[in-house]
Amino acid sequence: MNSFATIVPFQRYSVVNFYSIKSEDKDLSEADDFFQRMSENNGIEDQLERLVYWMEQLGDGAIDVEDLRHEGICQALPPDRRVTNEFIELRLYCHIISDKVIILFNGDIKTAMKAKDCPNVGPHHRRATAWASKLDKEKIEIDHNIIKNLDEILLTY
Amino acid sequence: MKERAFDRIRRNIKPENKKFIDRNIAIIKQIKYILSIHPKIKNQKDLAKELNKEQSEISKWFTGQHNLTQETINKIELALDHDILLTDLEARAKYQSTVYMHFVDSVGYRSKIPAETLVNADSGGSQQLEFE
Repeated sequence: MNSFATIVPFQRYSVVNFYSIKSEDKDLSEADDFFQRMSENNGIEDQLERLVYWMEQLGDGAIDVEDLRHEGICQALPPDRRVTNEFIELRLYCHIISDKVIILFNGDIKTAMKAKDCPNVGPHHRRATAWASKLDKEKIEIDHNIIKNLDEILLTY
Repeated sequence: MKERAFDRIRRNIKPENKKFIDRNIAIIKQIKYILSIHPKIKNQKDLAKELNKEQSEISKWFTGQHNLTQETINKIELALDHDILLTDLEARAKYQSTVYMHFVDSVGYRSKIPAETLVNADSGGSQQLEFE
């Protein structure tokens, strides 16, 4: 059975505003769920901290949205390896709405070369791809980096 | 109200993790800047040619498949004839000897510019130059 999801504000920075997706029948947004689950996962604390710090750098304009990892029609944090200069297994899928508005989805620890072959990130990547495709067709009204028509953008969860 | 996991992680980022990323960003920005102003070497292909290496090897430096070690950074610095990393002491030595000029533009705005940057600059608009 499908349920509806809406876009919700996640974190504001000086340059980029981050949003996430929240299903009507879940307590946490997709991004909150990702950070909650990953923070309970021992052994990836440093990767998680670095992912958050990369997100802050993006938010404050130290790096560009073009530096994000490209994963088909959606994108992912942390940025591409040519920027991070290290191997990070974590993936937080997202979608660039504009150079100042990004919607965060969910993610996990990637264990295979391709997302579709990984049991952890595969389902998150498929859902992120579907949402990104839907969002590309939506008319999203942005004013000063803020999405104005949040309530009108409904996505199937 | 329970604190979000994101806020908790954000509040507790270790200084060494911040430093690692800050340094990475600084290095990448510096390399991009040098390539943008270098008269001959503009991209990875030019750099590979200058270092007499395969482009695929250079590409690994820039794609994280090969961490940028000090040795690698040294090679890039020599090829580009520019410093990528500069310690505080090196920076003081370099910029203490910089000759600055006071520049007053046509609307009276006053700014301080290293003299070397004016060597190739268009002299139009300059009304007054004072050495410091």
